[in-house]
Amino acid sequence: MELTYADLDNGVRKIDLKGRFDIEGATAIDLKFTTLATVQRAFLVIDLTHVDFIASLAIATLVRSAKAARLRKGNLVLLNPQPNVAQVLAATRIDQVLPVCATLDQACASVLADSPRT
Amino acid sequence: MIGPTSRVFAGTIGELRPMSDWFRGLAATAGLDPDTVWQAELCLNEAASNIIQYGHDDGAPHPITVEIESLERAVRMTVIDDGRPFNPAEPRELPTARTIEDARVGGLGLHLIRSFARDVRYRRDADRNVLVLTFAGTQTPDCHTNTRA
Repeated sequence: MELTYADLDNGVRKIDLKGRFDIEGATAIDLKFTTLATVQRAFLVIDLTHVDFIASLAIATLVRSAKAARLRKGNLVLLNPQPNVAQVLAATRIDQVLPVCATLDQACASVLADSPRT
Repeated sequence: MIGPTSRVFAGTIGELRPMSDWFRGLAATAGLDPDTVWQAELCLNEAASNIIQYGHDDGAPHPITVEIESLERAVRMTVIDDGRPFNPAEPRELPTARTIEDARVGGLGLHLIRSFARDVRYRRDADRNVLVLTFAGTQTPDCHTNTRA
């Protein structure tokens, strides 16, 4: 699994994931992902466009990172999951506590608007 | 009725992807519909992951046998392991979280299995767990050969 990121001008950190987000994929990116997600106050958009498979352990990684971001008054939202990934998010009801957005503009607006107040 | 195909995998994390590749190969050969393929693949991955992570106390890999069998407009997957008795078919309520802070991640894999498999059955047979998952499909795999890893 591949992980790249970019810090956008609006203060959002966009993390792009690519590949198979199974237990092996989650293990491969875990340290880098956690580091990017938990240092300082972070507003994170996790782009799932190129994730073609997601397993429960990967969802745990996302939830842990989202909790860590919220603890630091930041936030985390998900962007553009493929239909099968979206179905897994829905089945686990994670999409009820983590915003899932269709466009980057929506994701940036959501991640900045819904963050805990300082 | 088409006979089943089976394969034995080493019970290690590194075998999960070969297990998925094997299943997808069978599904592609059979022309199984894409939704059924990814749902069955996900459930296979979750079931095997659960066995590998929680099935044993000795830290050693234990074999996992997977059988795929076609039914009329469905595919049946049987996962067999010699781990401690565990029934994934037993109903467990998924905790409802209102906020991300309340969200719990334990048990999601079992919930996914029960969500995407049309039928989930479990039995303990000769000191082995036998989990049988059935998925609806528009076509079924033509599985004639038995192979062993």
